[in-house]
Amino acid sequence: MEERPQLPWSLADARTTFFTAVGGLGTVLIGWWGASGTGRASHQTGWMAAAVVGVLILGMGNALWLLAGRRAVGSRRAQLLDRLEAVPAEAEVDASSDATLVAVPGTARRHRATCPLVRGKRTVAGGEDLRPCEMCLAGS
Amino acid sequence: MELKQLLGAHWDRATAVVLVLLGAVAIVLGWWGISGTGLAPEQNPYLISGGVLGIALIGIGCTVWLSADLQDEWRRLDAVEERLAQLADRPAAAGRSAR
Repeated sequence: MEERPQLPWSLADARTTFFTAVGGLGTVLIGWWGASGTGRASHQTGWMAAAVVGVLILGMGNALWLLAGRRAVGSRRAQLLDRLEAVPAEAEVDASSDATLVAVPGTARRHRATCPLVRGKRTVAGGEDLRPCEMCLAGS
Repeated sequence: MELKQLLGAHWDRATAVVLVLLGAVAIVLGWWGISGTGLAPEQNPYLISGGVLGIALIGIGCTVWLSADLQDEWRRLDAVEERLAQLADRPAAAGRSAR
């Protein structure tokens, strides 16, 4: 059986986000350190620009992280929908089987799913505690 | 006790809230520092440490919260997949018992 990851992110996603977060925050701190080390506004402009670039790097890393998670969840949901479409086909085969027991709600007898007495009627699976139908379950 | 359990179960969301609050505090402190001086060279460091860092912290907090939502969705898909496997196995089991 295929091993399913516990989280929607891979190790590479975590690594990218970690390095962009550290790099972005580090750039902001360097910008702050540089700007506070000089008393001239014209010298601070470059440091402030560095701080803004740091926030952009951080934001880009966060966006990539969220997109990777969103993509993984969407892909898995699509796989599940494909599998879900395949399930009713198996159930239909089973409903036409003699082995399946059904009952019409509110009645006292159980029938085989193929019994003509329940054909076209709304039935529910089960009914093991009900009396067997004399037509389809006689002698069973 | 209930609050402790709640925080334990939703530690990621608690972290997100703390980061957003820290970001808001940084912005308020930056504003407070800037409004205390009329000289641009003294205001710029506050703009970076308060405004820019505050925005960064709020951004990280929002990312952590959205990551928690994605993890919840992933766990719900686990449950759906399990139920689907049970549903797919049921007719096969009924068919086996008939043979």
